[in-house]
Amino acid sequence: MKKRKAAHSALAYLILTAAVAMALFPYFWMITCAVREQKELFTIPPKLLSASVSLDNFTYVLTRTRIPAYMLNSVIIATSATLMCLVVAIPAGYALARFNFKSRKLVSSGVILFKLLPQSAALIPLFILMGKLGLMDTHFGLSYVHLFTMVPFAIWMSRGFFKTVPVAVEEAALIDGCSKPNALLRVVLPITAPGLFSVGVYAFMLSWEEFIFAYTFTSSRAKPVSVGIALFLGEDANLWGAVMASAILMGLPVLIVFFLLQDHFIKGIVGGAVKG
Amino acid sequence: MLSAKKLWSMLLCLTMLCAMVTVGASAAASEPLKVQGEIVVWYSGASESRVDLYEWAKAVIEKTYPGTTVTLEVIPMAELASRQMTACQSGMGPDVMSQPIAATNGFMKLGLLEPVNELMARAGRDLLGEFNPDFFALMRDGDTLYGVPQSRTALALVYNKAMLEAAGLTEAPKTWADVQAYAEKLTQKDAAGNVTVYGFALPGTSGSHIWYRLIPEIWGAGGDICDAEMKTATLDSEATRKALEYYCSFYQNGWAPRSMLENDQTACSQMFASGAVAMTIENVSWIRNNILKDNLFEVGVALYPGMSGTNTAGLGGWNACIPASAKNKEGAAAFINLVTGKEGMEKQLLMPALTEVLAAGDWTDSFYGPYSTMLADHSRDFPAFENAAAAQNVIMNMVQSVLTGSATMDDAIAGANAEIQALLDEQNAE
Amino acid sequence: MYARIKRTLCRERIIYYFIPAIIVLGTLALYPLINNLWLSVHVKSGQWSIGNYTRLFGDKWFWNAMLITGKWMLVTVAGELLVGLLLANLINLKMRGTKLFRTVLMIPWMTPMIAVCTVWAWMYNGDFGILNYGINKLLGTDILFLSSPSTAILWLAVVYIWKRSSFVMLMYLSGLQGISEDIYDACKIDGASWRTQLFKVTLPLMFPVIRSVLLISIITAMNQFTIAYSITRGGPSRSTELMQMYIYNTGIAGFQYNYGAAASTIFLAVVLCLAVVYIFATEKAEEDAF
Repeated sequence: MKKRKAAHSALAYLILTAAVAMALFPYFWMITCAVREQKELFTIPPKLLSASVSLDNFTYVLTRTRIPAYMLNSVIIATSATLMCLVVAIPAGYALARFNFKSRKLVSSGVILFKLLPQSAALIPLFILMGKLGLMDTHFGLSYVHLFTMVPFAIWMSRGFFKTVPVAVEEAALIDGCSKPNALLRVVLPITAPGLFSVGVYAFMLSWEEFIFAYTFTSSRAKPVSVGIALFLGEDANLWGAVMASAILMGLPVLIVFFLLQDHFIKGIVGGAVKG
Repeated sequence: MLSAKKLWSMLLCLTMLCAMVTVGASAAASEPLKVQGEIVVWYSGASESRVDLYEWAKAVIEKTYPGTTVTLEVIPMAELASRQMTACQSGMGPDVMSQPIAATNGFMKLGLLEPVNELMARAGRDLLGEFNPDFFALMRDGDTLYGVPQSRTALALVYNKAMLEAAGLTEAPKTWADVQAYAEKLTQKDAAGNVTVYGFALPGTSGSHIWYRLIPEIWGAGGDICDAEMKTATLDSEATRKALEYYCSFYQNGWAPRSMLENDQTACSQMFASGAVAMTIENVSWIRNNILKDNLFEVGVALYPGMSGTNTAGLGGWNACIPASAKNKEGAAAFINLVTGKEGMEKQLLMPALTEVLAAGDWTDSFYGPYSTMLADHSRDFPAFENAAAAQNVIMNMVQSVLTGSATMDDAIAGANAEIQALLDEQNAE
Repeated sequence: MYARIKRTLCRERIIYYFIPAIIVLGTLALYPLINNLWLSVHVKSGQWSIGNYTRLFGDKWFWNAMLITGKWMLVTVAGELLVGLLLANLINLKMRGTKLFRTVLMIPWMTPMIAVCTVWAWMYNGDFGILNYGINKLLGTDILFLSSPSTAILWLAVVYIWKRSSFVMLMYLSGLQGISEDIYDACKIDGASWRTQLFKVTLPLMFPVIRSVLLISIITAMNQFTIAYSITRGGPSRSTELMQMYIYNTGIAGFQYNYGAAASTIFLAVVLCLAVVYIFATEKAEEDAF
């Protein structure tokens, strides 16, 4: 029996290790390609590791392309989108969690419905509208449009977090003489702050990597880094080394944040999505 | 009650106003450009000389007009036509667009471009005098001009001299049969049977790259994509069949890279530069900036081989245009003036369009010679499609479906013919 | 008078909590949906016409995109389900070091899609890609991933499954952890084999979780754009042109606003119908299981 268990464990470890290897190999490749010189990339057959290590690609990306400007755009757009998203989603999530009103089921279903909408359903009308309002290629325009994907998720996740606060805590505050919104602000928010923070971070990342709206609604002034990388392969050189370098630059902040906040995230995403 | 005094004073004011306006208007016509604020410039291709040219122009503008900023944006070639069109149509275009000449006509017809006569006159330029008037053929509406030529080019065949000599080939290929025979001879394999050098590389993706390399073959075989008035599509012809067969033969015989369907011309040229490909069809700028400059190896240049002789290449090159929805037109004009002036022309794209600079240079050696000959004697304009990107995509899909075998040659050509006809119908309906 | 208005307005109204959400979703979702419908039944000149829809039904590229999106959805959802369930079960064994495994496995999901796509596009390259080189060395044959119209979409699905499996795994993991140990102990006492355990106990108990995760998987798969755009741009010969890409290409890049609107209305209808049918069908199945 013990032997069997050991064999089972060994098999499990084997499969997990294989899965981890498959998960990590592309990152290994991304890094080795980013730190080698351009001409080493175009050898037939391809080399797994190159002899030389050079940071030329990174210097190229940071000094001779507009990637740094795009990253700044991304930061501006994602930050404003996240702030707007939290302002919209927190009250709505709270109301859905706490109040028992008649159309509650309808509203929740509505939120789920909005989560399912494909972006292409709104693409063409928004394209025309933004053109008419002069919001094309502006930071505000794109951050506002990002709310399309962010708000339903944020409402759902924050509702999940608000539900974890026992009603007794609020009732205690109400007895002490607070009004309901006050209770929300002074009592509930501090308790759920870590959870709401992770909602904010998740929303930020949704905006950071969003592509289809960014591709359609920006051209140069407000172009975020997701579009910047996609349009990197140019006419005179397919600078794959630089593309890998910029992919690393784009993905690294996200990964660092993820590592620092893993547990919060996982709680929020799982809680929000499954218990739907 | 209107008193006489009031009436006279009103009349006097009105007259003064009219006088001021007339004087102001005529002064404005010859007033120097007011350059301020941000100037957004889009160009394509990040080859060294282009980057140098635009960075130089940016530095000069920012120094001459303190307070202005120039934002340079590089757009990849594959996206260029569609990005520029989408941007202009929706009002988020740049101030200066450097665009391939094939696209300018379409933009002009759709009303997306700003006339440049007046703006350039205010910058002190005489466009028709300084450039070959033929260059404006596709971008003028009567006397109104819509762009300033930057360069004009025609493609030629380039090959690795050392590889040809090693294979015992003394002359450059001159016809289709030659190219195919050479491609076979020049493809090298290692002991295991894997290819180490491909004989001839052609692009399998990127609408514009394929357009420039397939249409001339169709012309060489005696056909065309549409008739001269651009009313009927003539793609469904024996000439197209032959040209398509020739184009795809390299991939099907293993003389072109396996990754052909993923390669645009840039990838092909990169393989040429790194010695993985023996021959390809490329522009003078790319070869000069990436191979000649670093002296990687000796490049041979030959006239573009066609079915039974030299092909007529499609005229390529770049125009600098101002979108009608540009926010800073005067800044744009100042920038264009700099880039297409004598000093700018000397720094940059080949062949320079400014007559003065073109005449001053020596373009007749063994490298530039064939390119000049192609440009002077074997080039013509492509048919002017309004939506050039769409037409190019139709041709690209046709080539890809034959390369992948997902459609028979006849079906692919018939389908493409129908789509080109649809584009022509839409174009003529307005 | 003013006092009364002030009192009415300041009264505790639930709707106040929803006002920002109503404004945002109204302008970003409701208005465009209605406008989309309106656009689809008009032509450029402003006349009312259902010509867009009749044209769509005869458009082979529209059906091409539909077919490809359908194939894509089936492959990716099945793949995610299998890989996610497998990994979740393994991690649930709670051996030493599984937390580390879980964290590392989540890295693909956390990386922005476009960054992931660029490296896979480079790995899949026919001449310089490391994957084909590896396959050549090990098996002696070539797989040209992105050059074959019949299989390119499957290789894209591999990238997508690679990226999303860990998210699905997390969901299933939380579902698995919700099953109490007592049930498994009871099974052991009853002498049930692991196979019986899996099919008769674990899966039925996991059904609600699987059900909601599958719905998310299906909808997310149908809404993809970035992966098709950045790796193959819809090629070769439009064999990886997912529906959202078709809508962008015709509606925005092709400037046919009305035609594109018709295509996206039909696509939206398909997505919604799928969701509704799915919810009803699985509700019944859930009742039957118990």
